[in-house]
Amino acid sequence: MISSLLLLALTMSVTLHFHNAGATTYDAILSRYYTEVTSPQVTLQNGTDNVSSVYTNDTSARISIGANTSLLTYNYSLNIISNNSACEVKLEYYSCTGLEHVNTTIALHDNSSSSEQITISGGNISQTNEYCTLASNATIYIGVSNLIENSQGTTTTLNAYLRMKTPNTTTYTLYVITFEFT
Amino acid sequence: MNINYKKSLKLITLLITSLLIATVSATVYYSLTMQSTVTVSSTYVKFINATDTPTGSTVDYSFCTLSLSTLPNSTIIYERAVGVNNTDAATDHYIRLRHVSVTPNGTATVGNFTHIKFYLLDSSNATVATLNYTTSGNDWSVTSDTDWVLLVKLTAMYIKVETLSPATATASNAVTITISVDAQQ
Repeated sequence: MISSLLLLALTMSVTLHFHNAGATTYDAILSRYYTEVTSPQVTLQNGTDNVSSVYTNDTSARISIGANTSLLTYNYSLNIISNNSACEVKLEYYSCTGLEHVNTTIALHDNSSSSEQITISGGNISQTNEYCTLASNATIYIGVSNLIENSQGTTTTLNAYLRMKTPNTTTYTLYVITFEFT
Repeated sequence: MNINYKKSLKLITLLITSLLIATVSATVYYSLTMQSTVTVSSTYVKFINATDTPTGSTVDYSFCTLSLSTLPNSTIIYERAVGVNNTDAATDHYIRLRHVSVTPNGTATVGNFTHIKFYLLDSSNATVATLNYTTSGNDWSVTSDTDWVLLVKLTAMYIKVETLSPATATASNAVTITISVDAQQ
């Protein structure tokens, strides 16, 4: 008898629980997001060193450079062109392979000042996370300097984002740039 | 005077039958009256402008329209596109993101988009819920409504939006997504 009453009480409790869970009362406030495909405000262009391939819509690129046992420098490997307003830019890697193959330093510069971005040395990689300014309707360049081969027979591949941040906001755009050192 | 018993019997039978039908047809019911008082009140959970609310957007307390961009073959991230503020000084409220509509859908225009992702960030920028819209051919698909997450009294969370389009996307194509922020009372 007692066990039957307990079972009944348990059943009622569970039923009430589900009833309460199902009957949630809430306010609904609506957010509407109108999203439009736009033309890029920053475009990529092969630099005068002619070591880059720029892909459709000029928003991604591959920089391919052959390394050897002498120090090499390519100051104009890729052009970054602002077609409108200013933004802050930096390079940040998100994957890499074969780091032991080369040593090199990758920088952003505008001919008068330079900002070191990524360094590969002794099989290790580091980045500064330093933003530099891309002025409105201006061009800055990706430079690869002090490139030297450490070991033969491998390729260093470095996948990086060119992060472009709108000033005074946390809105940013990411372009994929792949560095390949053969 | 002659009484026609046969006719009388028929008449009585007819009368009884009519009464029976009338009784059965009459629905017997109790009347319970419910009185509801509906008052106009404002929600405690409201939208607010945030660092990355784009120019041209409108943000009202209970409705907002944001104008966002997407680029071919590149990702745009609005870390704090709009804020969700709990103005209640006394009570925490559970909130969630719930899909309402996406337009257009089922047409070739959809092919101009890869994904649009919505993240609900707490005050320390940690993701506490996500609602992802992805495309396959001409169709959008969306993940389930998010779980309820606690919005502490007098604090705000932020909606982060990430857009990505394929390399073949053409400028001026657009999509409108409507999402409800549900707030438990």
